[in-house]
Amino acid sequence: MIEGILAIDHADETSGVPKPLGYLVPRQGAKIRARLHPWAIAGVWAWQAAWSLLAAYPAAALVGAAYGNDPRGDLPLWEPGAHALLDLLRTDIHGVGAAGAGAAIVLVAASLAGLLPLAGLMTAMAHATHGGRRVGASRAIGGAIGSARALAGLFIAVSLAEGLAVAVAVGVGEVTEGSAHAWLGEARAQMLGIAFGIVAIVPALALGVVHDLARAAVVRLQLGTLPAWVAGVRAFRRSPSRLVWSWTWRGIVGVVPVGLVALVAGRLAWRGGVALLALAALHQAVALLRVALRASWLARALRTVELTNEG
Amino acid sequence: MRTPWRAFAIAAVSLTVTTARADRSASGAPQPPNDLRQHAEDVVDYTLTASLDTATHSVHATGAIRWRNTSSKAVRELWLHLYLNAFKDDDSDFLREQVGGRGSSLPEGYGRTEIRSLTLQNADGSADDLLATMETKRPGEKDETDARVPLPREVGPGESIQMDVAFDDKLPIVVERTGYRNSFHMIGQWFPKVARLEPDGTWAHFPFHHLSEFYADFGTYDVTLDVPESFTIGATGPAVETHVMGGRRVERHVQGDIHDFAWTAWDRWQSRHDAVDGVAVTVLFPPGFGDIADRELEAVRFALPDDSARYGRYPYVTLTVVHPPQEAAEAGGMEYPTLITGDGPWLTPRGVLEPEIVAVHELGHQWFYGLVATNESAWPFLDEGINQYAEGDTMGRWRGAGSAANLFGLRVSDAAIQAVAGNMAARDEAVAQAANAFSTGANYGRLVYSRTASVLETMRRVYGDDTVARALGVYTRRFRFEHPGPEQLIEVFDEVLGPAVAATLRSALFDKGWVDFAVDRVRSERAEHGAGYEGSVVVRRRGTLLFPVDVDLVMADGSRRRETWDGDGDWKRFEYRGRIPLAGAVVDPDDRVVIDSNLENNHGTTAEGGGRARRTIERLTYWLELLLQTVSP
Repeated sequence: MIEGILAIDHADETSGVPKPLGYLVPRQGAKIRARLHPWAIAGVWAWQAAWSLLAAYPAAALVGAAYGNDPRGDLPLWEPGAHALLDLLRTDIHGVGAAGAGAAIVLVAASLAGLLPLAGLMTAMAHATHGGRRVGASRAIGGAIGSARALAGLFIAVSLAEGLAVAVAVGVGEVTEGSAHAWLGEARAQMLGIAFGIVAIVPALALGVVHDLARAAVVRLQLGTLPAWVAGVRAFRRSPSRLVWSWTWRGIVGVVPVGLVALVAGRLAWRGGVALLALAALHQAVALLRVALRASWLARALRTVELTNEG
Repeated sequence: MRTPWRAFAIAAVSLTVTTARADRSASGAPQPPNDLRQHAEDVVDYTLTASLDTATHSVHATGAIRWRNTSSKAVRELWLHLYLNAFKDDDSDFLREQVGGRGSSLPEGYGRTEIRSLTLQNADGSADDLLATMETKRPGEKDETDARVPLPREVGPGESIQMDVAFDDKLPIVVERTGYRNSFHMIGQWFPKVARLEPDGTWAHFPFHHLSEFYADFGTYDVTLDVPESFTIGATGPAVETHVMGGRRVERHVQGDIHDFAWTAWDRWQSRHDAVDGVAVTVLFPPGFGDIADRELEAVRFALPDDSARYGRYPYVTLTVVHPPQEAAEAGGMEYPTLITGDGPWLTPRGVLEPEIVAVHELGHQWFYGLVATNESAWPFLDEGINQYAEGDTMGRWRGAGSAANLFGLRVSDAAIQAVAGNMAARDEAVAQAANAFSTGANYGRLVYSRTASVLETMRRVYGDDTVARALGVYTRRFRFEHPGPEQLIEVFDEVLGPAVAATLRSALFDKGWVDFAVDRVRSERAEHGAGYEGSVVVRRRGTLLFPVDVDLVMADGSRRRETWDGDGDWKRFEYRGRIPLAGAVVDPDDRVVIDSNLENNHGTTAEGGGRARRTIERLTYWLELLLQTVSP
């Protein structure tokens, strides 16, 4: 299972040509499609669901201890009005705080570890076996481990840069609001500040797009951190608006079902039995859809770095 | 949704107006009287002319105060409240009392009231100087908010006097409801205000404490306001004269049957106008707050006719809602006769009902403070507490279970928030005490507002939807334009709901009364003789308050049998015999006793060990997945 990793051909970082990954070969650009890899998408979804379940468990255990002896289970907590829920937050505030801290730690760990399934998904989309078959889970993970170092380097560097960009955006927003306050009034100055802040945050979004392109370069072209970043920037410069739109529309589409299901949840959430199962299925369908949209974008990124290098 | 409710409210008002007076219904229960008092007893009239200097943020005023002794005794002194002196320096009681709560941050700029002249006008045309002998503070005191004015002669019962007054206000940067921020001015507690003389001849006067509010006699206010032409005025009562002259806007506002006067002036006000239930409603709001103003107007459209139907017709022709800019938010969330101030940032999501709640709350004060003019300093629960209940009741009927928030499928009710907050301090100190007697601002809020509201909410849920409304309806109509105390409230509850309920109310308010229902033991086993199962459930009532309560016995197949306990005694055993094993029990399954101090012992099962939290883990997992997808690389 590990032989694939051991057999990785380290790319000539200057060539810019998709490289074989051990016994995996690059797919044709046009064939890099998220929809061809439902199991890889499901794997990422399962990974996220598992971590989220782990993070949720301490709080759920707390609730179980408080309402375990209720024949209705935890139904009172989710009844409209939320009296029992608020009361639980009051009486078990320290336990809730501890559960929250635990969940935060799990989520941070999950975020860092999330690089692995992400790379696995990209490997699965970008490569095939020598026989032209889809990459299995173990080989995809093997490829992902091979890319981990470069991806981690990118993650750290881009996170810092994005943090800086967000800070600049907040600063621009505040300065704009402060300067416009006297002649526009408080609310409109704040609106203007938010508008300028949003404009100023575009570089942070652009960094995110370039980040994904660089990740694609790592997986597709077997590049290290810096060359991958250069490849990502090059790819972005070819068609920045198309790429940003491609990223944005998927982001918007990913938010819509969250809102729609929230409306349904308002009617179903406090019920049990089949209604609870239906709600859980809806929630997980939304989570899966969002992973699929992310995969779709990453497939686009993989195709883009390929085209850039061909060009 | 608005139209049916309005129709309902209007129908209810019509019914109130057209039905012949009936103090008792066919069942014998007292009903709210329909012949409402039209006017208050006129005790103190103010005729003032006030000019706002927007450069120095000061008010220069002159005028006359006509006061009548309505007590049974002659008086030789008068007490004046000079509330703005609470912000005069760090020696005021207000600024020295660091108890937390509203107005706790130190003022960015000080303010004060300075009386330039105060004279008693005699019938022969002469005048006596009262300023020379006026004491703004007593030996050993530093606070200057409670001034004693010795009178040169006795004023007998029924006798009137007139004082001419001239004073200057330096407004603070907005602190505790009043002041300015840039060109925004909210001007409350701004004039020398005569304290209330109780019927027995004692003055109800007090310094402006950190947690206390106000108390005054009714009268007529005739106030002429003078501001720069570019400024818009919002004030108590209707403007009966308006003109612009020499670059100044002058408005004369006259309103009778009130006991305070507040106003605002700003050169950025925008406005919405509507006629609601025959009342001219104006909302003043900063640029960019149009959506919030619409929401506040919507709240008034529901609550004004609704409150009128429940508590007696709103007797004034105007209502002004002032929404201060966020940078002056300390001026928000306050009530004055015919003028209330709102609160909430311009981008408050629709699912967070802060603007609606504040508007409904402050509007409710038109009855619980305005028309029923209780002593807010001595018994703050009579205005804030009952009004908090009225707010939750109104919001609940208007917006249902999501009356405080309705976000992402999670609906939080106003009443639930009050119940939980009230329980946080229920056993710390009594609800019924003077504002200044509370140990902290937090406890003042939890007990005065939340505990009072949740005690009344429990009564509504336990004894029926219309019970508390009926009692409060009798109370507000009977004491309209009067100054009742706690005993009058409890007497009305005794009369309408009976002595047991009145005793419960008294205990909850005066004696830190509390209650905790608990399922202590659930047993189920095969019957010794014959088929089926037998078992029992022990339910306990801990604490000092007595309420009847439902108990659900839950069988193994999920079916239920409802029992009722009158709550009398420390515990009650419910025996079970049936074909299906008894699985558990729930006391108060419909969440009626919202003041129950521990909801986590309201249930029990025959099974050992912890249980399941399926809904919780489902929801938390989903929410954390969304979070992980947002933050993960």
